[in-house]
Amino acid sequence: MMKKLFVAFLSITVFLILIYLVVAKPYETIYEQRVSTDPVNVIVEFVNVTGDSNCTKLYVTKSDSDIKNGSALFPSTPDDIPAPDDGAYAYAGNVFKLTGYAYEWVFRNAITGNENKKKSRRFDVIKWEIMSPYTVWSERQGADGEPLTEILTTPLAYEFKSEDHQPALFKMNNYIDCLAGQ
Amino acid sequence: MGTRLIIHTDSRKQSDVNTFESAALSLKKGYQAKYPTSKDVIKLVFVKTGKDITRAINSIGKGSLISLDIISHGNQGGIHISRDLVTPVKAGFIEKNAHEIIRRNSDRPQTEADAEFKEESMHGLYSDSSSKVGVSYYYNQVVTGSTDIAILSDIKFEVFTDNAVVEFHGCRTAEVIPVLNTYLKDNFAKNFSDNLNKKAVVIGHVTNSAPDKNPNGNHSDYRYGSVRVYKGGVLVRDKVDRSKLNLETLTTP
Repeated sequence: MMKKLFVAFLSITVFLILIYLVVAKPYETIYEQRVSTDPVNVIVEFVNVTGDSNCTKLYVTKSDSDIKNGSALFPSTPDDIPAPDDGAYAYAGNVFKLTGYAYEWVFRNAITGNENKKKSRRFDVIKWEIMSPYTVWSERQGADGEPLTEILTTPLAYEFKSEDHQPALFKMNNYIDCLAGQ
Repeated sequence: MGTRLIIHTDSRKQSDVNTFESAALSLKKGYQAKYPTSKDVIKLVFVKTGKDITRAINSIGKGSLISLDIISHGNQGGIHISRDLVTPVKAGFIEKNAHEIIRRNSDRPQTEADAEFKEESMHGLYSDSSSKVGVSYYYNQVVTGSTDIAILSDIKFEVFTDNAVVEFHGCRTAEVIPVLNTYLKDNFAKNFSDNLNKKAVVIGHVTNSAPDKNPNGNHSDYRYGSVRVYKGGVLVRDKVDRSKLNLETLTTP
């Protein structure tokens, strides 16, 4: 009886360790790094994905780098630039031109030293502008108290004033791509 | 005379709050247009917490809630409402590791530094205690100490009529994640339906919803895309397009 219990315990333990090794990969360290030291431009469209507050709403429509069209973008901004995906101008169909730094993930195997890289969605924004005309949430309300919108053509752009663009100056939110796999 | 309750929730993003409110008003107008002579009361309620949701439901008289629409963020665990913390809270050993493991193979894996601190807290309505803990691990959000979180057992289900219609317009409340929702836990829509009469309908989205992609062009309408329908806890429609859904007891516009 004791032998059977011991074998069962051992089997479960080995199974759990294997699952842990496969899923958690404790032998692998991960980090993000900039793809290049030069900023690139991307054109993104605001898609009103409301699955969660953490859903990114910016999807690439054009890029002068190798960021694929349709990719979700996770914008990170320094303190003196507002986030392009949250504000009165955060409205479905609005198009933004973002300038900044693209990233890649590095998966480093601590045992073999091998490194695998894959595209990251992070994008450190140093400048953005909205394409005209664009829609904004109005401060006025409708007869039933409903939020109204306005279409504007006034230029709207922000630029990071600092010459120092080190990654630590850009605030990264806990974004997820809510349209992944759909 | 019964009550139709339309609830729209808070979000950390003002654009989402506006979208939810627009969708709620659009639904109210839809009910008014579909039942122009009805004496039923249509209640539109904005809520900031799960407890607000249960209070709004429980305030309805016994057996008189005809329909419940909730427009919100969502996931398999429930109606998700989160808030930014003024001061981030250090994640515990288990929470930090659980968060890293769950997100390890996602589109944004979490580094050790990402998981170190929790920057948001949770305030929604979830299936039960384990669901809210699971959601907190996924997002790395604070769940303990949030006294305004509610779970399904806080709801007085006797307020619903026997053939009530409940629709969750937010995302993924009817998603079935292999293993998690097939062997361990049911999704939120199914759990909600378990508590209702077998004639009552519960509709939940399978995927994430983006109302601006609605083929009907109405940017304030979540009633499209893949949904699951439950009756008395039994799946009666699997992954059907909401815009084509036609059920005998469906009284929504």
